[in-house]
Amino acid sequence: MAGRAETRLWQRLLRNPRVVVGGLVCLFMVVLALGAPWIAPADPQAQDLIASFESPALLSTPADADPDAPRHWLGTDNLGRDVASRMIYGTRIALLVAVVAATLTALVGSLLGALAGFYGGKVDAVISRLVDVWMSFPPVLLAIVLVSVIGTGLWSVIAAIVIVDWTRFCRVVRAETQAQKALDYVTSARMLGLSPLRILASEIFPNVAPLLITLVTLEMGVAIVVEAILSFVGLSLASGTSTWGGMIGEGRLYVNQAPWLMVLPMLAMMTAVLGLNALGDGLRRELDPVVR
Amino acid sequence: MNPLVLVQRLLLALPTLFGVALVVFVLMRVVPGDPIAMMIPPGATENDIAVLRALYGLDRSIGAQFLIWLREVGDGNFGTSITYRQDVLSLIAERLPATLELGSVAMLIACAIGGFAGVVSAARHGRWLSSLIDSLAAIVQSIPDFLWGLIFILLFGVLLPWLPISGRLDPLLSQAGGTGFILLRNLLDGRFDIVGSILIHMLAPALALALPVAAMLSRVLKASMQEALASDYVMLARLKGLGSRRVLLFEALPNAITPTLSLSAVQFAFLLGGTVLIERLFSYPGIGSLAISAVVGRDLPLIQAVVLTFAVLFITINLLVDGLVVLLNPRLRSVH
Amino acid sequence: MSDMKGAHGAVPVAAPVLQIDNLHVEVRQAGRVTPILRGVTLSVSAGRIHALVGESGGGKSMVAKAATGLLPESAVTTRGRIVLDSQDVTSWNERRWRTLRGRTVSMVLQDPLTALNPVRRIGAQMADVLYLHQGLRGAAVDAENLRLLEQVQMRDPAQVLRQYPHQLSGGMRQRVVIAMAWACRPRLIICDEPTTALDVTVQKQVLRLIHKLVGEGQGVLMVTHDLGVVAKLCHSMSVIHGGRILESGSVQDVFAQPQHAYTRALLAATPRFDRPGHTLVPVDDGLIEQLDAEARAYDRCQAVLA
Repeated sequence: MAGRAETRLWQRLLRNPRVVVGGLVCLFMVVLALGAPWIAPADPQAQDLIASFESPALLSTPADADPDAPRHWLGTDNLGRDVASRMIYGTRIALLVAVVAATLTALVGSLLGALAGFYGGKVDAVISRLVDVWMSFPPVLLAIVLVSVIGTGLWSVIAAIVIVDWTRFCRVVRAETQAQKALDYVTSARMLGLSPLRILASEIFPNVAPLLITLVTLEMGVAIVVEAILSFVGLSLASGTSTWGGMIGEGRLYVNQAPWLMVLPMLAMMTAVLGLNALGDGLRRELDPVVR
Repeated sequence: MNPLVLVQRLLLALPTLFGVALVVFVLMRVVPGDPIAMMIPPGATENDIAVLRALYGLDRSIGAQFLIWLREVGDGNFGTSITYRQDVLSLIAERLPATLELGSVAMLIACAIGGFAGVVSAARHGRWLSSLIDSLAAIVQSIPDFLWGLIFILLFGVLLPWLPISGRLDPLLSQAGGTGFILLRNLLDGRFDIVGSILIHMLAPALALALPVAAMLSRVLKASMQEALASDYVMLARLKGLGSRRVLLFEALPNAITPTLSLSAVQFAFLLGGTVLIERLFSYPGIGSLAISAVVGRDLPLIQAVVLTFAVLFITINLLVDGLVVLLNPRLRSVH
Repeated sequence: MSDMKGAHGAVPVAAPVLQIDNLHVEVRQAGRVTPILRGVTLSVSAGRIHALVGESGGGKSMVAKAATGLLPESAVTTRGRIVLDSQDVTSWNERRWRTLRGRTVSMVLQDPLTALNPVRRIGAQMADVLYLHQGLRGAAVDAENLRLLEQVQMRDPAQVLRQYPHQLSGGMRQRVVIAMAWACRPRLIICDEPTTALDVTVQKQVLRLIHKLVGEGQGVLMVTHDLGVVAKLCHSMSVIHGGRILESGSVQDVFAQPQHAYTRALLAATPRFDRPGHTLVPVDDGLIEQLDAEARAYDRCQAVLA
């Protein structure tokens, strides 16, 4: 019964430590991102030069601290902005970029990969050559060049990620499509006169789906890192907005006097990436019948 | 040796290179900003601007510009850098050795760590050591080289200032060290004090580049080793009375290493791509940091040349390792 | 059907090369205990070829592994003993086994393509045992390699030594494996389905070769499911199913008057050219079930007795 099999799948997923840990991390990020206006203790843009470079209240509170002044649990930066709030709002950007960029990359890459794998011949030759050319560029450099060309802003960052990394999905989906196409059930579907699109959607896609899910979570991690890199180089969003990469870049300048400014966003990034990778890896182990 | 396959690959590489050049060229011409506008001194006349534009060939159509550029590249002329006011080719020639040395050292470290970890994990599979190595590898691989660079900057810059975190060697020695392939040259000259300084400056950026690659190599090698260890010929080797270390290193490893090697090629190429950020982080004077300066400065000729250089490196490395794989695998050598 | 056994003398000599007495082996994994050998008793005499016959999964490979000390780590010997060349090797550790392998006992594996290391030359692979057990070096190794290949009737042995496994045909590869097995003149040679992976025409040559090579003081344990091979080549046989020896004796006796129902069933399932009009009968499922039940009963008795 389909219902029984589904509940078994959920049970298995919940028992896999990677899925649980990764899932919790992602859930935590989603909560922070969605609830930012209510969760963040202060306005991330609010500057208070008098209270600048306060060390995190989590670690220590000076004995002579003014009990009426707002508590900065993670400290403040060079302009007196509350670090905790900036990080929470940074989660929003990170997650937004991650989800949108990963989805679009998956769509573009998978589509081209499926076309190449299914039709073969000239279509495949053209697309494969395109992939080869694309993969001759160092991805980071390409992203930086692209953003400098397109201009800064959230959508250019997303576009850069999609343009640089679609080849990852293309290769995998192409290989998978070719493999599936060689199997008998696809031949019989074609014999029945089903259109290629229907075959792709109803026959091949379900078999490729588990792999895609893993790749998407992986891609989300990549997107977060790329966004951070671009912010770090100063090419992402307007400098006012709080992004993890921007915080790292600024924090780097004050690393000797206020190391937490760099450490905290780095920790956030590492947790996000590790959580996403753990989730992706765990999902792959549970969903891929071959591995099991 | 089957040279035919290699020649085939070489021929395939040329259109790829052409495609790369084309993409870069078109991309940069789509630039909304005007590089000339950044260069003109205040008080320049319309005429001056027009002259400058003609000098850089920016007044022609894209097609014409591309053909001109191709012809000049054929002559070895890559133009003049807008930001550095220097011949682009010489600029790249100056900085390339530094990146190549950094990349090579990083790759060596990655292969050493990754190879060792992979073999040990395969040999001790099922025991705690193997699980530990595998878990560490998974975590290390998840953290990109950029983050590792930042971690090391924090670590060695602030917490434990054991290693320098900028420059290529001790400024006091730089005169004696020379330029270009200083690591190689001083090694051959026997100037170990300089070599030491160079290596110590390289350690943090090289490690940052190497760690994620090492982690991946160890996982792939472990999987290949396990496959080899389960084979009949390993069983036969044991049946002959050969010891387990011999079997591991001389029967299993030579078979397991080939797939890992082709992967290393791709990884080396990506590692070189990572130098773009790492060099900037560690103020290391290679083409990586040159690339960033070029992009930030909208320096068209320089950007084109640098991107083309990276692409050439990628393609060359892939070719070389393809050749190496053919060399190592006797089955691929004979022409069937 | 020609019978090659006549050449050897009819009287077995001295102590057996391999003696397995009442061997019980079980596999302990993930909290479960599975018996795989239930009181196996067999012996291989010098100058004789003894067949171990049965279907796949019946325990044949486990017996071969036990006789070479290559049982998996999860396998435990609970009762019985193995005596190889008059040495009790039942509880030997890896280090001691290594002194015997290649020198006192060797094995010919089933698939010669996977049995040879693809990236090493034939000469190098053959030289391993010569270095290790005979201490030969340099020119002596080459000379001995040539001699060994000539012994297995290899054409152009000098060329073969320089080649890689994929450059040889299946039959040639198997000859190399046989040459390696006989290199140090071991007392016991175990052949695990040596002809199954080969073409029919090559099979006969390989069997003839094995027959020719069995020297004084050497015994062969032929593990096979092919009764044709047993009839052609072997002097005595044991029939194994579910880890139990169901019947054993000289091949002539067992073929002429099989005592156990399973043996009868196996013989009936084998094409017999000496009996035209004989119909093939697959082994009855009911018989298998009965045998499985007997095995389980045996396990219960063992548990009570232990």
